[in-house]
Amino acid sequence: MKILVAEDEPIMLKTIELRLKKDGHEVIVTDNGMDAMKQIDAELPDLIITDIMMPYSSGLEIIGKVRALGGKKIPIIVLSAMGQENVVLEAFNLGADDYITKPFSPNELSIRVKRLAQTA
Amino acid sequence: MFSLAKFFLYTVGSFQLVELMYVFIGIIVMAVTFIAFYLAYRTRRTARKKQLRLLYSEHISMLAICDGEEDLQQTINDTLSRIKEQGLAKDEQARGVLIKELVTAAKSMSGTAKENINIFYRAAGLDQITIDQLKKGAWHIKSRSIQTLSHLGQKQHIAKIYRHTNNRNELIRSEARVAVVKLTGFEGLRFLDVISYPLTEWEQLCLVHELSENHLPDFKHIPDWLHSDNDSVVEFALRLGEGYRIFEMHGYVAFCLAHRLPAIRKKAVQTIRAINQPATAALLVAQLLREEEEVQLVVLEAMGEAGSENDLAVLWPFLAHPRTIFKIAAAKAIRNSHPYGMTMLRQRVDMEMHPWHILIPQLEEEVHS
Amino acid sequence: MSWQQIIADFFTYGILVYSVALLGFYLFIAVYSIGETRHYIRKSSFTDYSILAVSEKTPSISILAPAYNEGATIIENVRSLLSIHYNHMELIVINDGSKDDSLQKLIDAYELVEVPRLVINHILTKPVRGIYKSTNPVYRKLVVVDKQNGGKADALNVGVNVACNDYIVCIDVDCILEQDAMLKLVKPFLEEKTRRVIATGGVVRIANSCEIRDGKVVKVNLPEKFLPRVQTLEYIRAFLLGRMAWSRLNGLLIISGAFGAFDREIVIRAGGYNHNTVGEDMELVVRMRRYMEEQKLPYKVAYIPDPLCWTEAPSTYKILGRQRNRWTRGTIETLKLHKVMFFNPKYGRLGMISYPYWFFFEFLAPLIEFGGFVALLIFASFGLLDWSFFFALLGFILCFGFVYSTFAILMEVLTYNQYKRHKDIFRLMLTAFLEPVLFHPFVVWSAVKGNIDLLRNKKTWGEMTRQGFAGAKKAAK
Repeated sequence: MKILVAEDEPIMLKTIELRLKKDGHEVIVTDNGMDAMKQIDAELPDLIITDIMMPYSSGLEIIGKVRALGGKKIPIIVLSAMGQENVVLEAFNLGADDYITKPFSPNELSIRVKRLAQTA
Repeated sequence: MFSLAKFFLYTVGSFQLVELMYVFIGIIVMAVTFIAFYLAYRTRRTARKKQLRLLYSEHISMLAICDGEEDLQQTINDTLSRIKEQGLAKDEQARGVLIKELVTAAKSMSGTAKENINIFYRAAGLDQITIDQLKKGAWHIKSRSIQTLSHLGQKQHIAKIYRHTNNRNELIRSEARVAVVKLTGFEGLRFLDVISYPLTEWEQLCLVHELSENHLPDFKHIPDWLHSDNDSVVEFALRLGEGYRIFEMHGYVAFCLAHRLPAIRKKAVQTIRAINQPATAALLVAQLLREEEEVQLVVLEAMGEAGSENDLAVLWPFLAHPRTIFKIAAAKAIRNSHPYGMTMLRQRVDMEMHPWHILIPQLEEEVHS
Repeated sequence: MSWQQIIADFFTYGILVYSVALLGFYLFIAVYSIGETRHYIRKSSFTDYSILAVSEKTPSISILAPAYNEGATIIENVRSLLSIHYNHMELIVINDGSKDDSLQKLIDAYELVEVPRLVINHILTKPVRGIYKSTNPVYRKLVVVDKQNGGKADALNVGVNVACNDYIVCIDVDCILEQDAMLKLVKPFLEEKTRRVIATGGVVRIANSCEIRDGKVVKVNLPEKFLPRVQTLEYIRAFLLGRMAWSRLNGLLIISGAFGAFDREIVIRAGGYNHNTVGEDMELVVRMRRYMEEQKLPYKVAYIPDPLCWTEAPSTYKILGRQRNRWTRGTIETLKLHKVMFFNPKYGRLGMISYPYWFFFEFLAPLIEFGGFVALLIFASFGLLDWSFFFALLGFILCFGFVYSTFAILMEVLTYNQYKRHKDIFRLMLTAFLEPVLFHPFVVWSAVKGNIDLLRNKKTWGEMTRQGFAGAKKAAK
């Protein structure tokens, strides 16, 4: 499966990349919101994992834009340090499929990705 | 006019001025030379730091995704020997970057991944280096080393950290307090029994945030803190009561409604509102009637959430309050606490009059959206 | 002794004392700022600001962005402001009776509908025509207020009335903010227990020639043109040395109108922005401080030296002149409104240090300099000038100025180091050498003109009031 990961902290980006590759996924990485949008258009990933607080444009905006594209529904997992109820609700309202709060366990992420892949 | 010029010439003298100018020019030349060298140094250092970060992020993520003890031990050994091979083991900058990167990783991860990172940190002997900095460093180094130890879960050093929770330097003590809570959860809060300095809003925010991260709640000391002589401790205890909606605390909080400081009474009202149990509504009514204006407003707002439909009688007079914010708060409380609140409001007020001609539609619109 | 002699001596000594005091103050500011800057940088090195972004109970803020005829860029600017990292905030855009289609553009782009909202007139303002909110949950933080034109101060006052939150942050819509700007700006409000922080000011840096993408500064460059570059130097001196030292003294009188946060309750109690002055940003801070002094409440005005806000600086002499003219009038009007504090011990440091400093060294300096220049011309034309002495003194003053600028550059390099290339620093130094010839006289002249305009009672409110950076930018294109 082709997964796009948008996350601005290099170490987290690397960890997520390695963990997902371990599961046999193809991983595209980007460290900012603007680049993420370009990659989504160019690479058409099967799943998106995005942070919220990123340079240039927020993860919430990415969800909004991806959902506005229409077409095949790409599952989106939000991975953010923001755990406030209103933010989580907003993410789901915008069309996120799952929400993981940092600090998070890479193993848990791997399982959630698997689950989403099955239902999608 | 000559005399004027001569006055200057003899007192400050053009020669002396010229000499001073030489001094200035000397200073400028020295500063510029220093800047040139410093810039070169800083550029090199930044470039190296970037390189190191890249290298270490690779290492650390490998460690983070290790599964099982054997795998981890193997990876730790590999990583350590590679760091040694590259001659980075004794390099101070490299060590600094490594510790920082470990902290960054530990901050965002939980579970096995975080555990792995903590184990590596200790296995690499880095905790001794941090402890050394805690002993000898300047205040900002001390603060940072306390932070490092707590982020990397080094519980064995807790006594060394705890010692600083009442440090004279407010930044050190603040970090130490957050650190002990990070390491031991509610148990760490025991410094509240003895602290002599006030807790700032910022510290309270950090502590509450820390407690919310996977620590088992333990409320047995809260009643003591609610009676503390340190007003900021009372405030903090109320904040905990509010955040965790501690039902059992209702009685103790009610006690704080009579505190001498309006700020604490406000906080107590908010806490009562959050806990919201059957006795709350009556308490709020009593409080409303005896409070000064400043706190009354908070009470009215609380009644919007925790009021009961039987208490409308105390609210009606506030619709005629000279200050508009009171009218709004009272109207909102009426709207929220009675199923027919909105209808009754419409009947009671003059819709032609300011502010009702806008306020009533606003109250209705807010319900819909 | 003849009476001419007495007058001559009076001036000589007067000027001498004045100059020595001025230079002394500069020296003091330079030295005094070092400790404060170092402390701040060290503290920041281990502070985790993100706690303010991720925790539940953070102070609530209302960002106030007044807009007048900004139709060309308003959509992008609002989008950029909405992407700022802060959970508990609302963004209030105040359309100050724009003559263009700003409002319609906002309504279309952000799916706005008019909502009934009661605005309490804590501060008296021009009437509000309508309040709009978005139907799209993505833009839940956005509130747009449409009002009758009344100038920037009036627009900000409407914002204060509409705001629901504890703190207000005033910004120019065309400013570019760093995404963590709010986190850093709000923190000082939480750090004091014994005194109330009534306002926090941020740094404004110059964005000319910087690479800007999607409303964010991607790469910082030194401005290519001379005028913005010399202003860069000026801003470094003012923000890194001057304000840092004043903040350490708790004597800050000014928070730039382009980016500052205020305690809303105190703003209201002090009476809000004064729309009868062109220097409403300075006047508000002075009035808030005065209010706190009069009520005998302990307080503080905090200052954040991090470069958080970027703005386009005027790049032609014409617009620069207009800006400085306005600043001068603003300063004088503020000083005049609060003249009761002049050396008044009742007002503590505010009355004994800050106010007199502004009076003597901000208001009087250009006038004295101009007067000196005129006197020089007269003496020279009568052949009364001792040229060797004149050149020695001139050289001394110029050198002092260079040393001060060099020190500011040094501090910048040691702290934020925005301009990393040797070439940039070399050009900044060169700019410092050119400044006394190509920039300083012009600034002095603009200030003098400001004085003259004020004496002639030239009132330029309303549309002219918005001729700040915004106007400057448009004219520059």
